[in-house]
Amino acid sequence: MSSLLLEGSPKLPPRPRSPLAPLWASVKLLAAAMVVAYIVLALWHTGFNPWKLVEGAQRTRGLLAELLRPDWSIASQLLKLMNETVEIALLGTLIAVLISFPLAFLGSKNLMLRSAPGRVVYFIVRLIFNILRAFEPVLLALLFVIMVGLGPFAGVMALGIHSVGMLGKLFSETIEGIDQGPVEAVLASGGNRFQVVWYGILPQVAPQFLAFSIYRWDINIRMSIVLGIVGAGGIGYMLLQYMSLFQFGKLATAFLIILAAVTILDWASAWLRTRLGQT
Amino acid sequence: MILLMPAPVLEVAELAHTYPDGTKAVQGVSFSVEPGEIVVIIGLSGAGKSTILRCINGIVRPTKAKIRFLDEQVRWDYGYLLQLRRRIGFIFQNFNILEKLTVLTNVLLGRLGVQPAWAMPLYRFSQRDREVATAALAKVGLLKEWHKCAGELSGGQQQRVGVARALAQEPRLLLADEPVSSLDPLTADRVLGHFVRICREEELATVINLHAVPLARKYADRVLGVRDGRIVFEGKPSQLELTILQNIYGEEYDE
Ligand SMILES: Nc1ncnc2c1ncn2[C@@H]1O[C@H](COP(=O)(O)OP(=O)(O)OP(=O)(O)O)[C@@H](O)[C@H]1O
Ligand SMILES: [Mg+2]
Repeated sequence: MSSLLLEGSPKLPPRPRSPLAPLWASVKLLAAAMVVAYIVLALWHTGFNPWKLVEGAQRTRGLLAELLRPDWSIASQLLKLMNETVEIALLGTLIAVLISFPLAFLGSKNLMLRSAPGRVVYFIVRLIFNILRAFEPVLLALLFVIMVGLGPFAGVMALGIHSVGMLGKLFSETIEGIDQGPVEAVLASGGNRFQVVWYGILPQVAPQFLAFSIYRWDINIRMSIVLGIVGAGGIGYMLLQYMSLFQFGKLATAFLIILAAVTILDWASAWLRTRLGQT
Repeated sequence: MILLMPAPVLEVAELAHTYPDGTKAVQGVSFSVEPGEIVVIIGLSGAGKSTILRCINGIVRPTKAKIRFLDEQVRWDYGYLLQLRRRIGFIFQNFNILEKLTVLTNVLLGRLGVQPAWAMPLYRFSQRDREVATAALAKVGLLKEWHKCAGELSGGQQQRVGVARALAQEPRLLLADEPVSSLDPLTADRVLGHFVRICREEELATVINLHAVPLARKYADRVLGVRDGRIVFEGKPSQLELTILQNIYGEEYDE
């Protein structure tokens, strides 16, 4: 191979350059400068100061120590509220699944893009999914608290509506990934439109639909804790209350219960999903 | 004499199909199939064999055609197509079975055309439908496997599920699009031989697309040679001489 260098040394031809190259270079430089400036501004606005962590820890040493002494007398009450949180998440997910299941078929390219009315429906359904995903669940929870009052029902509705965005998108993409062969087989044996969906598509997507639903329930449990803080039921509200009353022993109990519950449910959902052949 | 001739199950006249991208896949194909007759279509990849079969059961709507099935003029409205397809069994190269469903449920899909609406969401089928499906399973020799996941079966067994599903329709016509191309040669011969035997027993009109000339020779009653969307040969399998095959497959063809 050494012979390669013997035949005179080749030079790289010049890189083709557009006449606008110098302009682009200065635009890039300007953009970089603006990003750096914004980071500096953000540090200033948020009062970012690691020293405060050390200082604060020293000042509140007594209070922090209470976090190490959980108050177990309220454990059973908190467990009930934790259960309520899980239930809110369960019902919210269930509502979302019921809504997104039919919508997902109307929002999948392979079923809808064949006709002009189909394309319109597809576009509208995908738009709905995107809008619902953009609505922060906390905003929705506040909205439902105003509509139906404080309590778990507001949380169920907020999670139910918000989750349609993600579940609908995932369900639709699953439908788009199916094997068309069985669909054609159902058509060829005289199956009508509904039978095509129910016998040609559903068996192909059902395990993934179930896995996504469990995954969403998992996310919703954590979300519903946060929603509780704005008054939408469950254990979250107690976090706010104990904080404002400086009842750090009780707060510690709530922390531990949440930590344990979320860990166990996380693990259970992961196990279930691997059983369904999904990670 | 005319009275003794069986009426053809299928009469295709001047079938032509051009795909939306402009590909002229089939151009003026005419043929007919009688009860109990095995017609084999051979031709190069891309000659239009699949398109011909898919036009007959309306999965593809032909650009132009006069098709008569059981002495009825075929139309392409939704309602008529459902009626048409439930009387035509279709067997696919890739089997197209639902791997997550049991063998029996896959075969019961051949009964979808007569399934009552209330039973549809529940995956329920009438007692008679289950009996028909069981008989179809027995015909293809898969009775013992009825409860297995279809995806767990071997390729040859999966295609027999495909055949049983088509038979469960109690069809008058069977269309098979390269039914054994994805099987090894020995299994292919066995599955196809079994399939053809059933068709003869049931006196089914049958059209089979095949890649392999030896299989066509062995099992066809009549052979159609297709080239560039046209029929360039029609005759007995014994007439398939080298010059004729070269006409179908091109000059480079040799045995
Ligand atoms: N959906 C489609 N859209 C456009 N062109 C198509 C489509 N399906 C098939 N064709 C074209 O039509 C022609 C005939 O295809 P067809 O599948 O009927 O051939 P075939 O004889 O079955 O070939 P093979 O042996 O490969 O299955 C080919 O040129 C193919 O590229
Ligand atoms: Mg083909």
